[in-house]
Amino acid sequence: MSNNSFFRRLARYYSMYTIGFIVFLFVIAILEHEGFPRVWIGYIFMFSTIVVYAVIGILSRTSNMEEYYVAGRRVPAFFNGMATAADWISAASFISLAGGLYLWGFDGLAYIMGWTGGFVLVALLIAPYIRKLGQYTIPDYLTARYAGPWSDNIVRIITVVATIIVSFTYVVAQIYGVGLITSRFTGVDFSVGIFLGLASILVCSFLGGMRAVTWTQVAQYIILIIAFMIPVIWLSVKHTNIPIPPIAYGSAIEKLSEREQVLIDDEKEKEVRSIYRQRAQDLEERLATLPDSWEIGRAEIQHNLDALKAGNAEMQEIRQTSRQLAAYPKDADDAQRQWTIDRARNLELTKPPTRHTEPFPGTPEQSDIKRNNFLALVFCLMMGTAALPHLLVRFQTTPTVREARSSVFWTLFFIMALYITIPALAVLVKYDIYSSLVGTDFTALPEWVSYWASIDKLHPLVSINDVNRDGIVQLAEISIDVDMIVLATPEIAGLPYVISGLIAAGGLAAALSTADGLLLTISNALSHDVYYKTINTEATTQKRVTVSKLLLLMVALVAAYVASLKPGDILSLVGAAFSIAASALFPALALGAVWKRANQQGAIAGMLVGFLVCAYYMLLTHPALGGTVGGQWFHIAPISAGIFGVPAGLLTIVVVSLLTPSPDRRAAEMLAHIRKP
Amino acid sequence: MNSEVKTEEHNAETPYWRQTSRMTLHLLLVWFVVTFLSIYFARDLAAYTLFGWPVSFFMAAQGSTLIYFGIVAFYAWRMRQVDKAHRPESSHEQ
Repeated sequence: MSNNSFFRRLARYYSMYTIGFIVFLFVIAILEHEGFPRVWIGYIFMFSTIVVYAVIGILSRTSNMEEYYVAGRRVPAFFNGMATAADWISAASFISLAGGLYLWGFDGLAYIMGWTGGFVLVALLIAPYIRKLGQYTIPDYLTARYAGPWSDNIVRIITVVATIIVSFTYVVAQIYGVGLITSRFTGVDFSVGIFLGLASILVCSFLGGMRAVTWTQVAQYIILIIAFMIPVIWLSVKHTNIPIPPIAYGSAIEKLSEREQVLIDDEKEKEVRSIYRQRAQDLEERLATLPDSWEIGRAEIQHNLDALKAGNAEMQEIRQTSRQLAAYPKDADDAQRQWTIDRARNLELTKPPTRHTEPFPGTPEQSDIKRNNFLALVFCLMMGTAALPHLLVRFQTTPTVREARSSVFWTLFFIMALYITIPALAVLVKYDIYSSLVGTDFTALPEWVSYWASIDKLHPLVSINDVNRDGIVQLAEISIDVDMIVLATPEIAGLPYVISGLIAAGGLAAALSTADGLLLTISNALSHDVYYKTINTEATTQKRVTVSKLLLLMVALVAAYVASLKPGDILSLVGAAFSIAASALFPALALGAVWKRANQQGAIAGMLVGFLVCAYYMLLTHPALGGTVGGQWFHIAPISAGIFGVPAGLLTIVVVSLLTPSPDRRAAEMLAHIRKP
Repeated sequence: MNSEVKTEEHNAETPYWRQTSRMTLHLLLVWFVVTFLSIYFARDLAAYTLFGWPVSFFMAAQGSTLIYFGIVAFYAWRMRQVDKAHRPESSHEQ
């Protein structure tokens, strides 16, 4: 069978590619051993992987419409699973999630549950039906299902708008991630990093559309999984002697809990925490006596500095004090703001370390709020997953419905490989830091601490200050940025620098693969759904592909430009994209196949109401959108706005559909078709 | 073909769809119960341990994910059989 031989050929290519990559790793490792400079290792990893992706892109170039939109619908389930996993695993999953779990402990696991559980919904309610209909985009599917008395374009345009809002927020974050990784590991400027990454994305998706993106994503998955696994397996063997992290870290958890107990009761730790309490109180007093306290404080630091300079103080201390002076608030208003933040931060530090495995720590009331938020977040992430257009469209690329179902299986398999390892990494790194970094002498700090502290002087990724001046590191004296954990794992584990370069290449692969899929989805929504389906229905296939490519170029440039501005607001909204996707699209997508009475009127009303409820809640509560904590309903965080949006959308579809006539012939025929084997 | 008959045929629930939808419903129920229970009762489950893991941590970190994987695997496998049983002899998928 030709399908089989195609599969075998792919398997042969990718095995050769994997072996080649491992050989390449060994070569670099030997070079490093021979004294090859670190910065060059960073360059080699960045450029060689980008070149590989570009070559795959060039080899898969196409102008054929079926190839450009859905990779010719001949991607075998196994490979589609890999490509979808790469499409799905974003820069945030790869880089930030393990760090998040390190900081939040149990409460962070909502992301693991939500991002894997969503695939149950994809498999059961959406993927097979989308594939059965066999069009090009998600708007195509909803438009066909909700054909009715009004113009088909209404459903289509609403879906396109939701798709673009969600995907654009998401793609900006990916491109930002690309810039961050390239600039950190090669030393090039942030915006140069962005445009380097962009070039590789464009070569790929511009030349070959979905076809090139698919085959590049498979290659990217292989790199990102190797990159993630090597340091985790190493740590796992180091602490438990078992090389399979998800199985091994049970014993590390026991050791970590014992260690946590020791640190909670430790006298030195208590001393440091009481110093923070003292600092918070001082700030409180200074806030109460503004603006005088601002003047006095400034004079005091100046005085200290002069004294240090006059005496024979250590250079480091002088530098620290002058930095203090430079960072001192500019005026009383600035002081008010800065000190309020500082006070909150110090108060946070007075708390003893939370136990990593304890669910929802706090008073009974706080604990219930945390539990409700955990539940809300899990369901929002699940329903959001099942409504992300760039993910769903991947299930259009399989040859049959049966293969679409198996590809959800393979997708979850490949995603799971990463997602059940991430909590293991968090525990292992935490144990490593709790047991070997805590208690070291300040004169013998490991090298990685100073390296990572020096990258960004103003907002150090890691800072360790001898708060109680006993010369020994206490846990309460360490502060670590979430994004650093994964990137620094190889160094924390004591692995050679080549593994750090590999991790960077893995993070880059995760960001690029997701960005590829998102850009293609946005430009296809614009070119196929807006241009071809609503503006120029006469366009030739040649013209449609050309328009699509031009739009892709424009969207990519706009996204890169926005990302180069480092928009904090957009980045903080990425998590919220799941809620928006869930509220606007999930009810219509899910009811489409299972409830035959759902009609066009219901779908239009439901999508609008779901979206508006979600958007309203975010405006009310999200700080980036001018909302406040006071606006919250049932203490639910803005990231979980979908927990209100989805039920509102579902209910609206049901009520409006029942109040209006049954779906017409076209919709009924379509439904009967997708419900056939 | 008479259009009346055709509409009638569309509205009728075929045995294939009955079987599919019932399975979908059952699996969704499993999905929901696993998710909801392992979160809602996480504090109570934390008292028990399983090979070193507190049960609630195990469920959230990998147990529920493995169950989700099981659901998707079962669905793909079972639907393949259901498809085979109900597909008309001569027709093939595109």
